[in-house]
Amino acid sequence: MPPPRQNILEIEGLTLSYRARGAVVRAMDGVNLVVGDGEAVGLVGESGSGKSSLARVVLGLVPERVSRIEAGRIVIAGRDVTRLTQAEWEGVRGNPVAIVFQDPLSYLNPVMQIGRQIAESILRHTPDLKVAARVDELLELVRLPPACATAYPHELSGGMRQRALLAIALACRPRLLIADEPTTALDVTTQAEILALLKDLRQRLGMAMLLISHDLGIVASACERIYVMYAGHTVEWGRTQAVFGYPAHPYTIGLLKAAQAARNAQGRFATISGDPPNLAELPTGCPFVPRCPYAMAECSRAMPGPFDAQGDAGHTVRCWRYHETASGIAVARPARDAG
Amino acid sequence: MRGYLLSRLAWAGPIVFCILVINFLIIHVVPGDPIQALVGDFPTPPGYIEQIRHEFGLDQPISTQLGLYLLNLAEGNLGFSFANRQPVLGLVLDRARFTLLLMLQALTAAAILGVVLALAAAPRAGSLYDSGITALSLIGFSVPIFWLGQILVIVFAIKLRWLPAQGMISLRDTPTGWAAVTDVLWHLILPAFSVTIYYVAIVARVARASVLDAMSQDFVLTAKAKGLSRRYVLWRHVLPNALIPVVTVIGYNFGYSLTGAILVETVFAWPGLGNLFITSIGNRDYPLLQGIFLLTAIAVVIANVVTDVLYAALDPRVRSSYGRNA
Ligand SMILES: Nc1ncnc2c1ncn2[C@@H]1O[C@H](COP(=O)(O)OP(=O)(O)O)[C@@H](O)[C@H]1O
Ligand SMILES: [Mg+2]
Repeated sequence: MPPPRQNILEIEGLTLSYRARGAVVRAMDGVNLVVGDGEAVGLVGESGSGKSSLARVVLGLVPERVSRIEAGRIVIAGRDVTRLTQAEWEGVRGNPVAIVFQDPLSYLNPVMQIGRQIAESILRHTPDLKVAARVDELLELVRLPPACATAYPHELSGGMRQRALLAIALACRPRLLIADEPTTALDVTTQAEILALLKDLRQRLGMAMLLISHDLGIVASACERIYVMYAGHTVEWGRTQAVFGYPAHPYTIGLLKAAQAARNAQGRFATISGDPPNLAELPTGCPFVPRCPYAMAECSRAMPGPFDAQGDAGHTVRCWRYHETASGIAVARPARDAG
Repeated sequence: MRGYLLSRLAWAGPIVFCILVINFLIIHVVPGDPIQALVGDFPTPPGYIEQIRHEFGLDQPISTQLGLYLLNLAEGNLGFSFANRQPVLGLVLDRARFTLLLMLQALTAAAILGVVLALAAAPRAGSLYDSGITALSLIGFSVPIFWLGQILVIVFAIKLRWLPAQGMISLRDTPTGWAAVTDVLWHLILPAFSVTIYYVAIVARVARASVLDAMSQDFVLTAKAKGLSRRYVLWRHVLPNALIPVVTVIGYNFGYSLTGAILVETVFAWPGLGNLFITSIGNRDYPLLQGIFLLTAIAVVIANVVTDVLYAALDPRVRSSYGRNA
């Protein structure tokens, strides 16, 4: 595209590295990502591909000492936030951008009542409201019983904790909600409930959402546009129908095929052949080369693209051979609607 | 909370009983005649030995003796200290007040100061400031209390003559009323300081580690992600979680802190239990020693119950394991 509305989030060529025990890990490398106001965008990729790093760096929540933004910029609601200090980040966190983390138990304060944890968000961002009434309102919004206000996290089920975490984020009245694998820690039924709730709330509140998951079905059902991430690189993005209907990057193709095979075989896991990459020792060029059936000498020289894939406007891919891959393979887009 | 409290008290009951029984058995383990042990090395009034023999029923089976012993305790009869010419119970309780005056203020000051130092140091872990506090706390609890005490006496009492070197009250002129209170406080400064330093060092070390641990927890990220300030997150999210292990360590080490009392009371001739303990060893005053053992053991049990209650007050997960509304 990019979408015809104002963008709440723009990430341009962002490179983020961690320094851990001597080794330098590039969790994000030249990442591009845009979320329009009110838009639902998905980010998929296997675990370790840098999704959570992306979610956190957008809020200045990557550990200061061991991480460094080496290149690129982050723009939130038109403001360049790439080099903010911790104190300045406080003006971004919660509003306009809020986040829901993956593991709902460890991300809730174990010794503080849920209502109090929600109230903190309210007091920070909309102190003029009647706090108690607003807490009740938020609990109702995420479909938790009012009694949860005085409950402690360990007294709730996994699904209820995830709703509580959602209420804490929504209490900040964000324009963009980042949900980092919000359903991964939950059982299948609860997953579907939370996902339906997210979709419903996003539309009702008119906020943008960046939904992060390793599960293709989840992002496909909830998002208008999709980014596919591999080893710290965004390798393909575009409208959901385009990316999943006519995938152009060999990695996306592999993911979709594996997902299809897993569905057919009732298998538990969708995997592609080859080992997941070691981010500390990435080859130069395209990181997918060691596992790529289309790899050629050119691929190891430099990361290709981005190129406009044919067919759909805004469908972008970072692969030299996108003509061949896109025309040669037709993968049915996953029709599953988990909601 | 009530269920929790009851369970803690139910735990303390048998422990106290065991302490009583062990204390009883000590009489029989001490080498020599138990009567001699009970009476000590002091010339006794004629007939007293018979009185003791009768009181404790030493000619009867051991179970009956235990019963009699417990009965005596129930009446508050812990024996008589001939060295001090007083009943043991009154003497021990009297001196315990002064030890509590010294130790409770030291532990309270240490808890507050140690935690504040840790809160200042942990967020700057690895900085010069943090290393400085770590080094100071290392020195703080490596320096022997009695040595520090003597240095303080030499500097502030003997050289500078700012503070009294020994005792709890001035002997030359005995002040009354408000002046008596300030006089005691004046005497308290040096001993309190030397024992407090030690506890501050211990608490600061434990607290620094648990603040660091709490800071690395995931929920801190949620709190920051709301846009809360660093300082707010530290005081309202990190601290309440970090306090849980700190309270446990301080509370469960209450018994050890009594050894500190013995040392500092000896150096400063502070008339507390520690001092009494040392003199009663010198006097081989067995009834008194027994009384001190008994009461300190019970004090440690009480400290543990109080710790458990504080622990539950700080951590709702502990309360919950005893029922939602317990
Ligand atoms: N604090 C950190 N220090 C060092 N390495 C990290 C840190 N956080 C993440 N990483 C590394 O960055 C890479 C990407 O991790 P992450 O962003 O969590 O990926 P994902 O969410 O897709 O699983 C991984 O190799 C991970 O080991
Ligand atoms: Mg992740």
